[in-house]
Parts: sequence; C-alpha cells; structure tokens
Amino acid sequence: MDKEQARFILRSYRPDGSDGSDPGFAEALKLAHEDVELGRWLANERTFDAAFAAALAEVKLPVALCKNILTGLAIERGDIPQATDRLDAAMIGALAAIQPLPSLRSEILAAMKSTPRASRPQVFFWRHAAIPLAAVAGIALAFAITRGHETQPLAKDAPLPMDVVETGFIREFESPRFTLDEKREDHGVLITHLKEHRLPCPCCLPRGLVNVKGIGCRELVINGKSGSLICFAAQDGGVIHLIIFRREDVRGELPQRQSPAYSQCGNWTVARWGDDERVFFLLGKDTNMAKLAALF
Amino acid sequence: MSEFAELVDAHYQALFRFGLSLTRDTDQAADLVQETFCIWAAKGDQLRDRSKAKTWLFTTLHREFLGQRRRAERFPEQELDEKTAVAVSAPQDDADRQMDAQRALELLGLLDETYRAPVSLFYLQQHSYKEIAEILDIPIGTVMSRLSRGKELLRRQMTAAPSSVPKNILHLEPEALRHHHG
Repeated sequence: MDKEQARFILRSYRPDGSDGSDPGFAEALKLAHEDVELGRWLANERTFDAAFAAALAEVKLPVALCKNILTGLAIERGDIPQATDRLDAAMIGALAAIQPLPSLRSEILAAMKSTPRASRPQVFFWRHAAIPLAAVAGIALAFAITRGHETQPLAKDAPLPMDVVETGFIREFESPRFTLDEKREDHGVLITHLKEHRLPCPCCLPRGLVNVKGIGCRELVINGKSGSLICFAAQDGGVIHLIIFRREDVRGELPQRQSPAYSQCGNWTVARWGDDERVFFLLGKDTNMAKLAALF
Repeated sequence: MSEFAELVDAHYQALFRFGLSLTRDTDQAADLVQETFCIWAAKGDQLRDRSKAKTWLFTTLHREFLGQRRRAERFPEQELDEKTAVAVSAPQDDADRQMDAQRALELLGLLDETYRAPVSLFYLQQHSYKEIAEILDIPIGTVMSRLSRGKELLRRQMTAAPSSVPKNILHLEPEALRHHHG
C-alpha cells in the first residue's frame, strides 16, 4: 500500500474514532503511524472532519418535530385514545349547509305518481304506460345531465380518472343521502375507524390540518372503488374534505404533498397529491386556492 | 417509554440533519423524517434484525427523498406556492455557533448530490462506510471513492469562499503547516 492508497482509505475514517476496530483501516493506520508526512496529513484530516461534524451537529431542530413524529406514529397505529366529544357545532353547520339537488322534489313527485295505489280506478292503457315512461325519461335525463362530462363508460376494474373521483365525491356530498359513518373531532378515532374498515388512511396530514378538529369520516365508493373521506372543521367556519384512495385505484401522475396540484371543479377548489401507495384530494367549497395552499 | 418513542428519540435528530442536508429545506426535512417513521410504523415489523433499525430508517429516508424528487421533477412547483427555503432557525444569543451549522449545510448543499448524501452521512458519524454503502445501495468501493472526492470538493468550496468558512474549522494549507512546524 502506498501513501496515496492510504489517504484514499483514511478519508472514510470517522473523526470520532468509531472505526478504530475496523480491520479495513488497519494497514493504512499503521502506515500513517510510521510515516510522518502521512501522519500529519491524517491529523489535519481528522481535525477538519471533527470540526465539520461538530458544526453539522449544531443544526437546530424544529421545536415540535419530536412531538409531531410521535403524534403521527400514534395516529398511524391507532394508539390515540378514543375521545368522548359529541357532535359539535361545526358538524351541525356542515350538515345544514348541504343542499339537495334542485331536481329532487320533482323526481320524488314523479316517483310517487308512478307508485300504484290499491284503490286506483281503472284507466286506459296509454295512461298506464305514460307515467312510467315519463319517469324513465326523467331519470334518463337526470342521469344524462349529471353524467354529461363522461364521454365513455368506465370499465369496472379500470383505475378512476382523478376528475371522476372529485365529481363523484361532490355528487355524493350534495346528495340528500349524504351521511358520515363516524362523527368525531379526534383524528385518531377517525383514522382508527377507517383502518378497522380496511380503508386507505393518511400517513401524515397536511400541516394546516394537524391541529384542526375533525368532523367525521366515512367510506367513499366511486365506481366500485373504495376510498376514505375525512371532513375537517376549517378555522374560518368552512369544511375541508380529505379524500384518500389507494394508488392503484386512481390513474394519472400526481405531485408530492409539498407541492400539490390545484384545480377548480365548479365552486370547489381541489388540491391533489400522491405517494407510492395513496392518492389524496383536498377539497373546499367556496374557498380559494390560496386558502387551500395555506394548509400545506 | 414505548419502543416507538425510544426509536424516535434515538434517531430523529440525525435523520433530520441528514434530510436537511439532502433537501436544504427545514419543512421538507421534517416531512421526510415524519414520513420515514410512519413507514416504520406500517412496515417496521417486517425487519427481523432489530439492530438494523437505524440503517433501515436512513435507507428509507433516502429512498423517500429520491421518490419525492422524482415526483417533483414531473410536477415543478406551482407559482401559487410562495414558500421558500427556510433558513435554519437559531436563538439570537447563539447566532455565531448557528452560523457555523448554517455554513456547514451550505457547503454540503454546494456538493453535487452524488457526493452530498455519502459525505453528509459520514459527517453525521452515525454510520461506517459499509453502512453508508447499504443505505445508499451502492458498492463499498464507490462510497470510499465518493467520500474521498466529495471531501476534496468540500475543501475546494471552502477555499473558494474563505470569508464565510465555519469559525470552528481551521483551514490548514500545507504551506502554513510547514511554516508552523519550522
């Protein structure tokens, strides 16, 4: 071994001496012990390395980092004790804000008319046929209106386009049938509920959602794919909805959480991001992109 | 104290510093650390040799970083996000010492990424060159080569900007040594 080879090896020798027992350094160290110039070089190298390592060790850590990690782990493991809080004002407000479809009333009336009555007087054939035909036509029209943006039907096993997830949620949310399966403020309780039902869960929440109260959660089924929905009470009194689907169930590229992609869907603002296992959609109604972006 | 809390306490600081040297952004580094531990919570049980937990965590953080960077390249940051890299925070009375840490990070940040990860891991002193090879999934000889070259580049960067060299680092040139030793 010559001195240049020894230098090459000793550059990997940690300054705190923790590699002292590694036989890979033995010959190079022996040479440095015997050769004055090499020994001086090693001393200089270790002084520099020790000083640089000390400088790096002085990097301050974010104050709440450890606490946040432990909270995230507790959520991931479902260790957070179940809270006893009941439905709060935010939940009441959120549900009260739900608007039924404008066509709902007429659809109900049409359906009622089509329901046969026991003591109905005898009518002509065309009158028997007219009402069901009108109902069928009405349903077909409503279907065509609500599904108008979809030019092609989706195969049952095909991954969902992202806009289908968003519009699917909005349609479900604005439906009068919309309910939540679990209504709690505590994020841990909501995550546990989703996990117990084998639904996709967030590993980490966007920074701005960590300390806001939850409203509730539920399974969200869109075209046969099961995802999760978690609703949060935003600090401005609105509601923020987080949708999570498994990666394989949604198609399309997504950015990482630190720089989500934003879009508008009617009067809803959407932020999308994903990782290797899940895709996320954060939606707010009548909100703007800046407000949504402030959550990240 | 739970096993998780012990694991977090033992490694989160070094993981954060490694993440910070890779990303040069405190928020991204904190996210990386958090995600690393979340992945541990979900998949850590699969690790049979618990003594490998530290290497596993650093490997996972590095992979997460590479994955995030790949995604970031496909989706460049939008104008909407005005967040800029956050300087490492420091108490006022500790400004001088923190400047050293800041400068150390700056110098690491000037290195090409090929060298930045192994050199950062080396200076964190948590891992031997063999473990660094395992974390970065590269041969041992390549680690030694990158450490040798990376450290040389680091010194060149310091020479290029001597006025802002960390104050606790003495830059000893051969000429100065000869003079000092007569």
